[in-house]
Amino acid sequence: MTQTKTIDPVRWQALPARVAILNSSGTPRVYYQVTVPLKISAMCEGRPVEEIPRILTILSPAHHLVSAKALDRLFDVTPPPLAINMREALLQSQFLTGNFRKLYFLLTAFENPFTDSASPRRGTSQYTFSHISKDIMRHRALAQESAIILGGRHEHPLTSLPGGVSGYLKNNSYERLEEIAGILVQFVGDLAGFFRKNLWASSKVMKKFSEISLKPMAGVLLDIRNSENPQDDELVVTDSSGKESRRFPVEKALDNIDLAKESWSYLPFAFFRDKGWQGVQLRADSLFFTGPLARMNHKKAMDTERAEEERCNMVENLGPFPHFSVCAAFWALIVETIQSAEKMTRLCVREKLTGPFTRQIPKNIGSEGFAALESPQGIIYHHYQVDSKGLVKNIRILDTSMQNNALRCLIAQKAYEVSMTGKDSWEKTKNRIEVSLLPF
Amino acid sequence: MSKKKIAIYTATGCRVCENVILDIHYQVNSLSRLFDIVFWPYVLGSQWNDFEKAPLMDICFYAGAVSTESDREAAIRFREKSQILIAIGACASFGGMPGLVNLRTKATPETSAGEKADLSESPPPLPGVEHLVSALSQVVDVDYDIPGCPPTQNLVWAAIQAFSGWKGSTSNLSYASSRLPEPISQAIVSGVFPPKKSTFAGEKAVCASCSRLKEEKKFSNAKRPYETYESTGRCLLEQGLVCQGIATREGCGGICTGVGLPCRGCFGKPPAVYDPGAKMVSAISSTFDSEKAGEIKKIVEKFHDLTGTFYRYNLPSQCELLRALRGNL
Repeated sequence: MTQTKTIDPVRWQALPARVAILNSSGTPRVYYQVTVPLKISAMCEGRPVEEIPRILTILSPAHHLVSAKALDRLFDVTPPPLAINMREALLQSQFLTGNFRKLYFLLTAFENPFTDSASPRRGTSQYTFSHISKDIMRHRALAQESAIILGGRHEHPLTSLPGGVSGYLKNNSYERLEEIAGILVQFVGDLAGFFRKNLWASSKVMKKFSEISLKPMAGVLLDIRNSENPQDDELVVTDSSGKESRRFPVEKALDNIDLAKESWSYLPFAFFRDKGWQGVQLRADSLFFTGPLARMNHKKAMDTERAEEERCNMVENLGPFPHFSVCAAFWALIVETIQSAEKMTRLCVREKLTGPFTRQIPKNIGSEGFAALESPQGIIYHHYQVDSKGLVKNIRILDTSMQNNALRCLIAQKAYEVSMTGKDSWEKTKNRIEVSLLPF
Repeated sequence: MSKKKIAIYTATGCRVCENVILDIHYQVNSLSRLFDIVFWPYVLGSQWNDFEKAPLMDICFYAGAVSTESDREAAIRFREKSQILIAIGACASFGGMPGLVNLRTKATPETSAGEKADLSESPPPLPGVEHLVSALSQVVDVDYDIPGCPPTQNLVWAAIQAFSGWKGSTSNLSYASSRLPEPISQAIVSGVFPPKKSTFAGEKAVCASCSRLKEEKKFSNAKRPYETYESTGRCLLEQGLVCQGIATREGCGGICTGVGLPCRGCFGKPPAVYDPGAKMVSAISSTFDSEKAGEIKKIVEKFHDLTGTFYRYNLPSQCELLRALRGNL
């Protein structure tokens, strides 16, 4: 008889999901199930295409930016440098808010967040998980404020339009942005130090996170060859050693990556089309993942100085890349958080973020638009076809949730197996599975 | 006074409403001073078993639209076990953007189907999908709404003040509660619950709080947001853009119009409006700067997807025509 255990719902997941563990033949099989269908086509088809950047923020804030990029191509317009910089600064704000939230959630796995305690100064011995988690939320609020300045709203931004952004930054908004960037870059350094001292230095924590590691798998990342000309963007496939195995232009994304449906999840699974769908299994070579760890597995160095220092700390502790463990995935989040804060400070130069020319106005409606973007969670790809009135006829989206869907299933399986080996209680098992799913 | 027991859950939605609670005035940790959070799967990992075992809840916050059997089941469980049920966000309040799928007449596959994996056992089933997406109030009785996509943090904070039994001085009332309808503001100040069926938002239209200059000019040409228009502070509707401020409840402070983009109605219709789409048709057609049929036809031809625009966030519950049709389904 089949025994079933469920985690319903799973904590911290962007899409409503549950984990079902079936044990009919003595070998447990873990299913990560997304329990709500997305129905993107049904929501978007028939809508004026310029509305898509606002509609698809329902998936994540970064969809606003990739959609705007796709519209630039569809309307054949090139945003002025000011608009490109404002969009880039918004993206970095999204990295910061998204990563801060994940790190906050990680800390809540150790301590209940809803406890009252005084706030001692950072760096003192009384400064504990609950204090840093409060600090993270305070600084997340600042990152949100910068996203609001740049995007109108932080979770569902709205300022990007075909050819640029809807308005320029006022002087006081720019100055506030500059101030926030300065505060955040200071904080992320302290945050990385806290994690090194309190989490990564703990052999217990390291063991807990390191033993949940996948068989090396392929990754996909975006190579922006020329930031002023997105037509040159390419997607890079890395093999299990992190080395580039092939690349293709962004417009060929859906020729190379397909989506498969399984009866037990509403969310489709991305796979390499040429390998064919082999199901969700460790030995399948058609599966891949995306996101901070996939990016870092391929990178020779980070784009900014302090992020690179943290990457070196990571190598010193975990060994050379590539990595496929949960521990490395969390550490990658911290490295990218530092990088984003530094990029924000680099962007906060008056000449880059201020000025009157924010948009190139489109003259004609094209027929097709597509673009890819490295979002905080990984690659996002949008492809639209429109009619002569600019109404969406066909839309295809590759979201990070689809690309990491198989990975989540495999991680949940691995986490459960580790818990069974250690004869963990159900509460501990549940916690282990949820924490393992969090960084991807 | 004992703390009130609360539950928070998202059905079909994007989690942003839950994140707004998480972000309230950036003081989420202080929530524990106001409430006993019994069930919050997204943040605390609570399970439905915990909810079943728990005593009667004082307040339940339900976010997201109802699109699956498990969403419906969650709505019923929440209603049965809560003294006060609050719909938070546009999806729960009106159906939200997931409700746009109700316009779709025929279903097409969203993905290509790959070869099925070889499974030696029957995989776990999924909750069934409902024929139409619904707002929470179309499934169970709802006591209060906090609209918006997402609701603004100050409105959520006002609701928390209202339901936590928080007793502060009027000077401590947030900006939000000072903008709320008088009965709600007074209730918050007095430490009593606002009248049932209240909405935590204003009573007038967004235009009332939009800072853009309205000159009552007529327009002769309809425009779309990708086209050129004045970035000055002039009313967007008067410039020819479909801006729904006139048919939308205020409370956001005009966020979208403030950054130069037309309102899309995420706070739902104000009480004085019967149907937001009908109101928009009336508002737009009355500003056409022509009485000649041919010219009017040309302007009309520039408007597209009016249903998807006028009912972007509220198709399931505020489109009177569809509601009537649905009643006959």
